[in-house]
Amino acid sequence: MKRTIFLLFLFIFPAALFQGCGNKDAGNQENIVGDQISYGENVESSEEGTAFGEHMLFGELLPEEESWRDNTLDDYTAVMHLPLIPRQEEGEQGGGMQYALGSTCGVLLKKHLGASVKEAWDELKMVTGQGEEDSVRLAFRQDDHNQAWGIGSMVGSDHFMMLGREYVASENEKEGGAKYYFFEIDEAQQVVRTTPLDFLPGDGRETPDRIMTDQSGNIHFTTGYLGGAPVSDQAENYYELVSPEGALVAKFDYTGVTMRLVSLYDGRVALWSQPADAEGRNICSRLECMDPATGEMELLAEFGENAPKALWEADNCYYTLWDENTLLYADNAGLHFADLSGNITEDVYIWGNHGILFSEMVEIQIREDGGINLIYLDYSKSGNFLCLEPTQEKKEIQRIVFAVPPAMRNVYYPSVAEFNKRYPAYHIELKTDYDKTALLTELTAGRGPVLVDTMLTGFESHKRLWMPLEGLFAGESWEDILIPRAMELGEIDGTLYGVVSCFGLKTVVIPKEEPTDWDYKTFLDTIEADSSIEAICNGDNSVWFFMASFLIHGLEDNYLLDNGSGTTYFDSTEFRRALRLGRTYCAETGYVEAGTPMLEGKVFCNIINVTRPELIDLYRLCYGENANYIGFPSGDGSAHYIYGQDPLVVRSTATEEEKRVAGTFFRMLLSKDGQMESTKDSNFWLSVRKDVLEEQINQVNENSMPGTYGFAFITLGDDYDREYDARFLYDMLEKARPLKYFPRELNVILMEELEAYAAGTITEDLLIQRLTGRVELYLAEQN
Amino acid sequence: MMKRIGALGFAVVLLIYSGFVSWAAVCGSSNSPDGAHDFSVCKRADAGYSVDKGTCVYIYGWDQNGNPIYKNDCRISDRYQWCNYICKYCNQVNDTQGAHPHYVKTVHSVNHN
Ligand SMILES: [Zn+2]
Ligand SMILES: [Zn+2]
Ligand SMILES: [Zn+2]
Repeated sequence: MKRTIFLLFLFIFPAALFQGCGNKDAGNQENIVGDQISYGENVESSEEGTAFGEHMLFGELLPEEESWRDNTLDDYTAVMHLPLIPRQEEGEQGGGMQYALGSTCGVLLKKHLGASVKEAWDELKMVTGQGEEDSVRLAFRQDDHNQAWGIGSMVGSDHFMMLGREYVASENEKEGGAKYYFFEIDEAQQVVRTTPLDFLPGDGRETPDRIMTDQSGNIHFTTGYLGGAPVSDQAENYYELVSPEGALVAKFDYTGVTMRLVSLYDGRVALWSQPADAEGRNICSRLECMDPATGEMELLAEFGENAPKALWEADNCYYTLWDENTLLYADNAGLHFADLSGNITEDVYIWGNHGILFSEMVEIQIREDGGINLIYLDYSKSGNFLCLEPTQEKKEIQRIVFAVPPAMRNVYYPSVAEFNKRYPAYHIELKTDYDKTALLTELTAGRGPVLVDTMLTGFESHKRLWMPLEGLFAGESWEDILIPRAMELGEIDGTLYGVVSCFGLKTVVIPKEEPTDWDYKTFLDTIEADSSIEAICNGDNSVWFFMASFLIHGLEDNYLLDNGSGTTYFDSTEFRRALRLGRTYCAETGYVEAGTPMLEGKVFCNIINVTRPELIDLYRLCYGENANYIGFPSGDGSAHYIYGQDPLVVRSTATEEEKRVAGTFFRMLLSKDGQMESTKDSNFWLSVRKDVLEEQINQVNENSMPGTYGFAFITLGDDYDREYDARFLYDMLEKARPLKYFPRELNVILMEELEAYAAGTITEDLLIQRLTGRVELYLAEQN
Repeated sequence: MMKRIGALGFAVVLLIYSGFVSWAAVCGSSNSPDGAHDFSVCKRADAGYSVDKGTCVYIYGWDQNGNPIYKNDCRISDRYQWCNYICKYCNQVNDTQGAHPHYVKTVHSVNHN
């Protein structure tokens, strides 16, 4: 029983996650790939889940609503939000696509190439504001003729203007070449009129690219290259306008300028342009509208240096006029109203409030009824159709605060966004501005955020503030999907209190082939035998750091004391020897760099961390392919260590509903897609999911820039070796033990006394006497 | 014998960081388990940069004779982001090592497969 519950989250979430949403029969299922379990089984198992008692709440999913609805956090609410993606054809490469908006729908023209021209076809994918979806094989296309080569909106209607292109062979060079025409299709994809474009040259250098028809029937278009030769030089870029009768009214040269066509509030179409300087930096943006009567361009708005960067500098700028004096513009935060100087006057719709992973606006249309239709691209560059209407009444929403350090925000954001989209009755709010002391005070009082990233607070030392996550990982089959060694890092005294989503590995490398194994004693012997060194390892060059790094791996495995009997070894020749080595090689306070000093023989060893697979390539390049990664000395020989990024915890006073939210969120965070999104942030380390870890290794390529503190940055170029990375990583993972420290109080004692000794304020004998007294007292108090 | 350095370019950058630099070792935060700073966290700067990788020519469709028809309106650029290492316990920015770039993604300006 427990087994099925766990499988539920690890498979179903990834399947449906990040696919956009909409009503269920609209066909989200067809996009599901991978080995998910069928829906029926899951419904059953989640019901059984309630039988496990209170703690099983973490294993229980929040109920999903029957049909999708948006929350009402903003002035506008989405009445429809659907992915606009073409059919996925196996092995297909290339093939253009273009989006367009109707007054009640969004469409996508996708040219499917197939293996040959006979198998090629044009798809018109459609989604409507009513939630209907359709994918049409364009019927006017007969075999290889009458293809569609472009599509554009016809403002205020559900008709579309498409581009036709026929190749005409001729002896006479002037008459041969490509012939272009526009053709308008109606709601049933029937051609209602055709407009020949005989004035365009046949060499492809002036082919309509973006197309939009205004409410008076004028066809606006920009031009670019579309032709039979794979040329890479700049095409001529024009903005042209054709009258409803098909006559060329005007033509303006915008070569080298980024152009978009945007529809205005009154049904006109304007040209949006963004010139760049010689270095490719955007210098301003403009919105201009041509008066068909005079053929003159009228400037509607212009933004440069003094305006918000989102209006002119960003590559994904998009704005239009909402009315004569109001701008409607999109940036990475959301959709806003602004005055004509670019100052925001009102937020319309904030992406983050609705789980939208916005990357770029494709098109916005202001509807006559005051609604807004738009198509945007998400993080994965997939299109989405969004239909917004003014918010009627604000519905109640359950807010759950998630406290995260600013650096970790983007690791969690995609999963939080997806959660907020799927569960509009709840809203996880990522809060990054916590003061650590205030946060602990709140939590101690049983208040504050429900979810906490313990990078802010510390984990084990505040165990009583966290709720045990029993039920979340109940059963045994999860071990097939997640890496047990990594998940166990979220345990305190054998009970799961925190969710670890990524981890790192730590080891030691030496510049010699021997030895290949060491315990504390042989480690010290080897240092002693090396006469050329000036320092022991990279990093902080202090006696304390030396002891803490090499001689202490928690209370149960160290060179200084026996926790069982409560005795210490400070007054011994072994400790005196370690102290002497520390004093000899770590006397100067300073910082020792990794890499070169060791390779030159000046440093005994290097400690390295593997938090991304590409770092293994960095170390391979630095230390050599057959370097001796001997590991740390420990009580029973060499050891490599595994450590987690700080676990996520749930406040111990969370309500049952909050527990369900937390459990559901954790499952999304640990789902395949949730983890894949997280890997895009540099603060996300090695995934705790086996399949995602594999992907991370496969993503190492010539662009990878392995970077870690203490090493110079490089780009790998051709010098990457995924097989080596995989071998190294899995081998070390198999051997790794959890990284352990002394309790903080004990460390403070050692730090204080060793510092006094290193500073020369106390003698070796006094140090040993004081350490023995203080540490044995501490151990006695604890046992 | 160990292969010391794999790439020439690497050797050059590696040498920049050789030697001993002075550094305040003790972390002020009580969260640090061993009292040392842990500079394992990247703090993103607002600044980043793009490297233009030129025009991307892609097959848009087949014409009626089965010949590929190309479009060249897509530009490829590599995006990078600057960041600094900070101590995950006390947020102190590490100043022995300056800002470093991260490769973020390769962007095609036009949506095509
Ligand atoms: Zn610190
Ligand atoms: Zn970084
Ligand atoms: Zn491209």
